[in-house]
Amino acid sequence: MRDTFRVHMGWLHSWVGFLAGLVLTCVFATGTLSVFDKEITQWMQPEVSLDKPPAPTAVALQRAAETMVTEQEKDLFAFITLPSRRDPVIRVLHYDGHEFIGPVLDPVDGHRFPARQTAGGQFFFDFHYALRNGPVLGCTIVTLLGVCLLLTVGSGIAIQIKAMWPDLILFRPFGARPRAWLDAHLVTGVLFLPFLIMITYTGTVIRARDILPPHPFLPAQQAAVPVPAPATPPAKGNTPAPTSRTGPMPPPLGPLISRAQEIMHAERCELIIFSKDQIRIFRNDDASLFLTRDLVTFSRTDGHFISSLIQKGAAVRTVELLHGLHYARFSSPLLSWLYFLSGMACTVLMGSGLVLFLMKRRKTSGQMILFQTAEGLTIGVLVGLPLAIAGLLWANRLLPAHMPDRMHAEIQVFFALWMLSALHGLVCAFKNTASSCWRTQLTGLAFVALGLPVVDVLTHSHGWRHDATRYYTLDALIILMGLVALIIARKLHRHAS
Amino acid sequence: MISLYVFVAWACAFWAHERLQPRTCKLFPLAQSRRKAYQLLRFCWPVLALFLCLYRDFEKGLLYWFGLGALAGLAVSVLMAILKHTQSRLP
Amino acid sequence: MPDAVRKPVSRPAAPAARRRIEKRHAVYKRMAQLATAAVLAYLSAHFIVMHTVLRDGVENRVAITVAEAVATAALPLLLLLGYGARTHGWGLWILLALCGLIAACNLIMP
Repeated sequence: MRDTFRVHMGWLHSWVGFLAGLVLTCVFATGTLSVFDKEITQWMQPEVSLDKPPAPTAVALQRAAETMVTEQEKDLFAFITLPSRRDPVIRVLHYDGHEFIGPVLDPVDGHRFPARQTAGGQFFFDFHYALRNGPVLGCTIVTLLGVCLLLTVGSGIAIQIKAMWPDLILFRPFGARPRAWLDAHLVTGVLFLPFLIMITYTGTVIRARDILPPHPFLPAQQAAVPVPAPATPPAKGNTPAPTSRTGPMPPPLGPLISRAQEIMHAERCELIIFSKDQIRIFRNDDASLFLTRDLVTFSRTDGHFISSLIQKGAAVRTVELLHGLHYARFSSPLLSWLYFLSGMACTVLMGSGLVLFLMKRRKTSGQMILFQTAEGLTIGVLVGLPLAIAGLLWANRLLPAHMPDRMHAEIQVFFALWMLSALHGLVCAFKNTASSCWRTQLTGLAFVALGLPVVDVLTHSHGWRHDATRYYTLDALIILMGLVALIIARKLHRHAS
Repeated sequence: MISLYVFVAWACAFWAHERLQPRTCKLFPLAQSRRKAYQLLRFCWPVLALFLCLYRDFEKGLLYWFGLGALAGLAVSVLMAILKHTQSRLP
Repeated sequence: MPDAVRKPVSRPAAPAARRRIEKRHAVYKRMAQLATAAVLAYLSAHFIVMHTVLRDGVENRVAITVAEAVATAALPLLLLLGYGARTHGWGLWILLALCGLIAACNLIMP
């Protein structure tokens, strides 16, 4: 065996890339969807009207406070998110162990929308950063995989460095099959390399503490008052004991919000967290690249100002930038779409990498059990995951709106479909009929994806003339996914015959 | 509108880059004078795009620059593939 | 030559089997070197964070978070250095030296 640098790096790239890539493809796909988590939640809650101005009235804030107190009486750590450009409603949310869910209120009169119970876009967010395995195990796995991805990217650069400049945009989709897949892998890898490195690194940094050895300072940190991140309000695992949640009815929130805006020199405030005797108001984080944790604390009993926390300094700004770059809570739609498309390209990069790994080894190891397992799992990832996502959206429309425990039923549909797809893939791979399995599942995916807009129309869950951009956009994207699946299935069919 | 200009500037730069590659020159021959112009353009367009991005939004300019650049590169690579395929099928 | 006459089948089979064994050994060697590089890189990353803890104190949360960011960036780079440069035979040695250097820095720090 030749012992060259490229050979070593190629081995590392292939094996670490494939083994980590099976999970990372899912992490990237769900992360890409999480860019539009609020919009997906809105699609999944068609009862919520979004044509209201994003400024809450005093009446609406009062209703929100009442709802929050009611939720806290149920032993839930409830908090309020204020209307924003992307989500112009008031939400009273609590963390259920996976998602932030809760009632949705009108920002004008404060009435509660009869919204269906759903995990919404939060489901993808939770899967993206914790694989639905909780903040300890799930986050640690994802962070370790992030390091594996950085390693794979580094070895990939080492392999391709010489050809990177001349082959910057070389793509030959009409060439032989391995060539076309390799070009797709390289062109997406090279063009989106800055995004890939940035998003992987910032994602790994967010939970870096999970993978580094425990330090002696950790107890000191845990004893300190936790300051939660704006979108993940109560730091998971640091939620106070149920007895300390319920407090008195807070004073009118409108003046407190205005005061907080004044103190922090903020355009808007976004989040209000209530402890037994304090109210913490956080500034919005969609105006800049930096994800701030600035907050103002008021007394819950009479609303007097207690303290403010406005962090400054190079180190704080660095951490805020690293977080802001990853969370991508920008108000700019163009930037959100650029993140979404770049995320899609990186998912394609990983998917094509998985396919290439199998193609390269099919001749020599095609009959080995390990190869067949790998192929079955790859089918489960590349076709099963989109199938399950489309299935989740079908379930959202078809399950009765007021069904008890509806959210879990939707999630069960997602995992049942995914498991079926993976099982089918594995069985077919063991029976040496993987190619027909690819075709069958891709055809199934095309059917499910192309059928979703039809289901959306037939269920009459919302109007199509007014305030319907979210429905058109998501349905169009799903149609696009269905068409791509159909084209690939037909190509595979032609190739087989 | 500025974003569109940035996209076009990047696309022109990628187009010039691909036109300068020997494999493309075989299919679409390039005069020596044009070669110099393409080399200049390949350098100038991304710089212009960067200025436009920073003018649009100084804080997030780099993100726009990289994002639009990657998309422009992808678009040009697909376009080039189709053009080359069409050219190679001509008698 | 007489051997070849007596055992015509064993001669071509032997190098193939040996090649397979050699290949397997090469893979084991790679895995061992990757694992060693991973341990050394991980230790170095840990020492980077500990350096900040010792320098700035346990209460300086922001400095420690920045150190963790640096350690996270260093982890794959050091791993690549340790594993990749083994082609030239000095990758793991460099990594060991780096790791020892940071550990020594932490030890002599007041």
